[in-house]
Amino acid sequence: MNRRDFFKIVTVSGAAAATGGCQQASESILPLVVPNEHLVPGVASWFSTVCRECPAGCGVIARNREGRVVKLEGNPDHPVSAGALCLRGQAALQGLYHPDRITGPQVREGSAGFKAATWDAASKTVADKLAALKNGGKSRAIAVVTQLENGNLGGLLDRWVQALGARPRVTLEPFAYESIRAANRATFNRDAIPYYAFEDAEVVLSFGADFIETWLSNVSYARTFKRMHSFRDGRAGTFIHVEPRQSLTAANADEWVRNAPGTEGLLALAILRAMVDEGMADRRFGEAAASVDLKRAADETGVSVETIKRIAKAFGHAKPGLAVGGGVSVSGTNATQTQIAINLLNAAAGNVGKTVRFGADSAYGKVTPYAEVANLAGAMAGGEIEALILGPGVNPVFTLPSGLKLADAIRKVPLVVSFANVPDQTSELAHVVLPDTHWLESWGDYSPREGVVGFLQPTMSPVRDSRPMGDTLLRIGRAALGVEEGKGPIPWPTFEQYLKGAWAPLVKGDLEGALRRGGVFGDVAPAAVTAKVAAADSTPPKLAGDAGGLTLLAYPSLRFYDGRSAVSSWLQEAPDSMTQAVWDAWVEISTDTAKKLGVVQGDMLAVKSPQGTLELPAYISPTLHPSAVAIPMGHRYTPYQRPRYVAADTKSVNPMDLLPAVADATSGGLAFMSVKVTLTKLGTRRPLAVLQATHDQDHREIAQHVDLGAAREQALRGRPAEEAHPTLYPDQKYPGPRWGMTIDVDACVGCQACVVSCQAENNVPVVGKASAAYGRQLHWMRLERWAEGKPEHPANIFLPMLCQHCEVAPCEPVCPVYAAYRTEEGLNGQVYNRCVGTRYCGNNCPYHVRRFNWFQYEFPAPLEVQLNPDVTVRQLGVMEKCTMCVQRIIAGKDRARDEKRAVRDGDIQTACQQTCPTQAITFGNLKDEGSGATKLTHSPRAYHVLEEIGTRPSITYLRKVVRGGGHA
Amino acid sequence: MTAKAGVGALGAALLAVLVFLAISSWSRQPAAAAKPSAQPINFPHNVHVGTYKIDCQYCHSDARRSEYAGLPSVERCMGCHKIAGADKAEIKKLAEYHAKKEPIPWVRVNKLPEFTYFPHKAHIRAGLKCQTCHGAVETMTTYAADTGPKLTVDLLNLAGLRPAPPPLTMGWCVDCHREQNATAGRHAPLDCVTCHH
Amino acid sequence: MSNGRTSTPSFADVNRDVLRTLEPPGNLYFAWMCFVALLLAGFFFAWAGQVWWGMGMAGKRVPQMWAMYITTFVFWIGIGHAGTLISAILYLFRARWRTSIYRGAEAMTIFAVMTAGLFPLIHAGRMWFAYFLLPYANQRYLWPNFRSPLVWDVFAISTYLSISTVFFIVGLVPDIAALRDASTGWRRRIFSMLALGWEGSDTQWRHYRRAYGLLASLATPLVLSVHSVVSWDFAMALVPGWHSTLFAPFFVDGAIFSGFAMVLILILPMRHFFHLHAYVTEKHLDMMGKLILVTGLVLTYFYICEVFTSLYSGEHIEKASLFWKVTATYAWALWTMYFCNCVAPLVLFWKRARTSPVVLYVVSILVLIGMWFERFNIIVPSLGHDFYPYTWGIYYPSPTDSMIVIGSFAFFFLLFLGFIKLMPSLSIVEVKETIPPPVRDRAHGH
Repeated sequence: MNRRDFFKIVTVSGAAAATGGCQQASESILPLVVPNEHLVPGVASWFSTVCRECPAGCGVIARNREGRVVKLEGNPDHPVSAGALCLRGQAALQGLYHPDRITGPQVREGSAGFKAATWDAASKTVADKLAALKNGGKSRAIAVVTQLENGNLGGLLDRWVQALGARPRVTLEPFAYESIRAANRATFNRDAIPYYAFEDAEVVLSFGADFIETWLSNVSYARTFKRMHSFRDGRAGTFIHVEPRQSLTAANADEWVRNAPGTEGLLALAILRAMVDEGMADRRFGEAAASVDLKRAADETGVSVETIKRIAKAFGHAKPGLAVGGGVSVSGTNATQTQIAINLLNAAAGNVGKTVRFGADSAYGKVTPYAEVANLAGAMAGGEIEALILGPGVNPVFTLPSGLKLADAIRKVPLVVSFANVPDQTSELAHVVLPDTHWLESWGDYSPREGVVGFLQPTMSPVRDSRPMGDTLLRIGRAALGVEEGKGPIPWPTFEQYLKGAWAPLVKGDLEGALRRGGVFGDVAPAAVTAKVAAADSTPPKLAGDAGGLTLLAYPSLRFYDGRSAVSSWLQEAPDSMTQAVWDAWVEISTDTAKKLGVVQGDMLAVKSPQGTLELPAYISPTLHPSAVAIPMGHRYTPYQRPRYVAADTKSVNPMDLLPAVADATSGGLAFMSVKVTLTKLGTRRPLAVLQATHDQDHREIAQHVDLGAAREQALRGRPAEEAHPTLYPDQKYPGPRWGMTIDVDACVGCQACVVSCQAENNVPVVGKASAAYGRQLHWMRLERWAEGKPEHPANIFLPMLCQHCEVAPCEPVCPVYAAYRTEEGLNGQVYNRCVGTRYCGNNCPYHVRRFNWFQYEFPAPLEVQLNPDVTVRQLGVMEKCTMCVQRIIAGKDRARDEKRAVRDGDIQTACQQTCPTQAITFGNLKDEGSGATKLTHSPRAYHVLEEIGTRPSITYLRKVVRGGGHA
Repeated sequence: MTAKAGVGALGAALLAVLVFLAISSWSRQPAAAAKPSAQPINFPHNVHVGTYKIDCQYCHSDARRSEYAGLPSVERCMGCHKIAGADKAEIKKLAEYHAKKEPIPWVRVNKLPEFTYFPHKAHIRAGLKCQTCHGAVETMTTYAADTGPKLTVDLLNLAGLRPAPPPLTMGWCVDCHREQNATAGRHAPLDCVTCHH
Repeated sequence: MSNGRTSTPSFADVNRDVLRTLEPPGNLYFAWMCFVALLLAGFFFAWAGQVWWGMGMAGKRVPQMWAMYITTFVFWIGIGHAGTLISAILYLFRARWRTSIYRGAEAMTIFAVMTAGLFPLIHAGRMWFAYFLLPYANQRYLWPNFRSPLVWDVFAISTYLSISTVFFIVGLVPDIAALRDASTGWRRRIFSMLALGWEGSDTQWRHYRRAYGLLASLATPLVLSVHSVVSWDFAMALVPGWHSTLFAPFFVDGAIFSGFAMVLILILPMRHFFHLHAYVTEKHLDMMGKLILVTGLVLTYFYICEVFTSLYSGEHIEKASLFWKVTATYAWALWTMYFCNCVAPLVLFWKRARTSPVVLYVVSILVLIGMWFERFNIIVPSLGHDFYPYTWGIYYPSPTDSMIVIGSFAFFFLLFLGFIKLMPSLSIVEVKETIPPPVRDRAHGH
């Protein structure tokens, strides 16, 4: 019996539909038929696999209880994520257990829509068509489109394609970074995307590269960025970011430079010019930037000459520095030229080989060029394609510009086969849907960069009647070819067998070990490259649309990537860190534009381009460049439409519907910044659900910062000690440990991963737009953005706020029934089944981190399967809040007792701490002087939020270290 | 008149309290104890534990390593019953399940409220006998737990008496933990969140 | 002698006039009853919905986890003060003018406290577990948290309710005897049962006086304690605008202030419709007016203190909260309160105003509005702009909120309307004490 069969036998799950204090129905317990030593009911088992929510390919370990995956964590052994996971990875569970997940194979019945079919029938329909085409000598009319599959699934598919003689497989990733590849071809003569060693840089100069959000590998680069940037024993790197819009990444910069959209290339050359003039770079780079005149550049980019010179100085003196480029405003028709200019900067500063390392090249280098996608679209429109096979995760109708007219093209294809397991805009056009298993249920492998191969293995049995795409295609392929299993070009009975065969040489006999580690991880020799200095052209990008209009920045969002994660209600309710808005999409306009149009936040605007019109509520941003409007990508109202969550809106909120299909002149890559739009006020309103009332701290020193100089001073001499608050009460005694936490505000990048991780771990329900807008969200942890300085150029501090577990907790004495009380281990306990719901504690908590169950919140089936069996699901009318993952503390102590030892520092990790890419959060025993948490509480940067109230929190924050320049 | 009013008020108050207690104890009532007929197979604990002296954890083998005590896999049952009493009607039922590779749908008997966590593991580690909580299983023809808070107990408490709390109720757990800490010098936790989290 | 303003009434008139109030009611009365019952139906409907669907039905949110329910709760507790004050304290001070109003006031007290008593239940997220707040031995070995002001409330209010109830009933005994003598048939039987065989003999009177005095001295401290305890619900909390040592006297004074206003609102119509001008004379109105004026001025003083302390404290958050209250979203409520509680009562400086029922009535209504808003301003705006800017927010009452708050008034008036038709709303006995003893030949009925 293999594990799959085991999972089919389900033991009773503690958390299923559990609500405190309700009548229990009599239920039955199902024992295993065959005992399995690996899986004990009530004991979690972990399976390592690879996250496929985006091509970054982070390592994941899945926590399996009673045969159901209940939590995902980063795989500590995996070189990309190193134990961390972003919010999208955390929320993958909601894709697995999605209420709308396709229940089985479906076949379209004319206009009547889909009708359930058997696997055999559905496969036969496809196989017959393919056979007909092949025998009719029209195999070229078969097209296969998948997401980036550079592992053995890709290999198998290519064999399949050859066997049937179909068109070469197209791997479709909306963000393919072709301009970087083209630029590297031009400068370094190498068609690849290198590994950028942020950790080794002293100064990072980013031209729009949103590496904390979506750029290449956000978890890995957020982590390495913090290694270089956060303050450690007196040293801290500098980060300068150039972008027309203050993105989350820009908000983390020491100096954010706002330039006119599309002028990054010019600015890069200007900086290069300045470096050459200052003698910081080799003369031969001079001619590359010869054409550039600083004065003119300053006027065009809107960046003053002084700033340019300052940046040049900082970057030139860095040993080494790192210049990266990306993001929407570096995706215009001049994208490659911009990237070439950036390459020259790196070359001139001597960073190539140091921080720009070829060899460990990114998987993105293997994405099919956009040109071929466009060809395919043309072929479909021309009726050349008669069978189109779409893998899971590809949703071109939604993720590619409407200018490509892809939907119409696909409608022309007689047979469209989709392997999507959750319905999306493209699978709606399919004739046959053969749902693929979710990646958490699948075998496979993925190589995020050279030398790193992550293994995927099923972490549980399929939630719905779905089958691995590989298996299905093998069966269909053989049927089409008319050969039976074991013969012909594709003999393998299942993809799993093909895969294990292919793994054999890789794992050298130790498959179990490789699966446990999560793959095979090695290093590849760095490839030496030499820079070819050639003049880069700095002409601004060509923009379609009304010349008098505003440049549209359609940017990928941290929460939804290109939209493939938008099915998750957790992500819909995790606020966008900058706007703190949830659920709804918006159009970000500058204050000037707002004045001109006479709109306030929430007023509906019609955004018009030659391609079409979107209607979106306005978000007024003082930081956005006046010549631009910004719309986040990927917003969809797919999370199961329930009035309680969000008012159903059939109108599109997808900025792709405004874009023409324009390609970057040099690389042929898709240009995302390609159109100017005009705005008109509609007169209607759709207020945004913004969770943060104000970004102004009103001098309350909630999020504190210290200047780099002062921080150095204190690191050396220590901080002048303030006298302790006088108290009439004796200090509290702790017989055992005293749990506490430190949060390094300097390390926090505001990525919201902790928020979603907490939601997953602690069964925190989703409340929907209306409730969230009215201060009824239930997040136990929230991520606040505090802005200081000039509104149009603020310095931002991100502050994770959760229950402070105060030693003198205001919530405790006021609770009439001891539902809120102090545990002897220093936690502020909350006993749900004792709570009467007077909400006195909620009023008296100065941090307002206590949450109330205003209604009986639902977990639509099968989402209730995901509930953590170790945490009570709260009933209506009770208070809840962060417990510092007390269930994990108990488990940790239990483990220690099993091993007859005391709990060691690091044994217990809270959910938020575990997933944090920058390790900003440290949990530990404050009585143990040796514990990491205790050491940090003694840091000169340590402070408590609202210290003057005298609540004596168990959570200590470390001040953000600011560089004089950036924090105007 | 005052007397009357007093009596009336007292009566009203008492009534109110009764209603509340009724609601509460109802809301905490665990699943009804299983009747012999309720179980798919009539399993005699007295024979297994009493007569054959089979160790509890031979069948409930998860107790020492998990929150749940667990039930024996059908395989394990068949381990003995391939031969032992294979001719008996009840055993035939078992054999059927095994043949069909189906789990036996036992009816759950011990059920704590969902907001209460009882880890068997910790208690086995502390060296408790199963009987301490589950009663003299070796004498039971059909295991049926008589658990959960009782209205009567609350009322007796109200009347100032101190009846022993019924098995598997909070007071009962607390009693034992306190006693262990007082007499045996153990560190049985009394923190609410240990069981309610 | 219906409009006996001039000549003092005789004992006989007293019996007749008072008992007249118990005659079968007219259509107007029934119309009122129906209207009130309708509102009450809405009240229970809204409550049921809230219990079924959850607290979310009410407009509460973070940061205003308390709002109109607690506002109205404190309001009714406040109303509940005047009664005992009048009957107990004024009794001990031998303020004779109290006699003709204290019965109504006591009834009002009890009904107001009963109404208030509903709100902790309505307010609790899981009211079916409200008994967790009662200290009783249970099989979970759990006790309430005696540090929590909410538990103090439970004791303070229940004590106050029981004492005032007993006090009220004791006061009724001789009058019920009078009713008994005046009534016939089944009514007579009931009244004679309730009269506890009252004969009016000297011994009975001696015991009665002693008991009454004893209860009065018991009730007196409660008048002060109850609202002090209620005020600590706020004073004990950290919230800027709540955390103030001023609150206990501040609340007690406000309570008496609103209490007297409510007494007037109840007495004046009775005086008009039942033609009780002979008993509730202008002297009474004058006295009541003076009391309202005084308590109003004291309240104004407390308001000034409140503002002064938060300004003088130099505490940034305290000040920010104050400025926000005065200027921002809820400013209208604050200024309404200042007008109703500080400005409106000033007219009572003039004796003509104090003795004019119309003016008194209008002022009383304004005072009640003002006092409701006082509690609203303490709770909602303070919470809306407290320590943590992230969660600052505005509270919007939901239909459920409004229906329950309005319904609570219906509940109160239903009880009171019932009372005035079933029980003598003036104390026959004590009224008689205030008038010269009758001459033999006109004696009957005593």
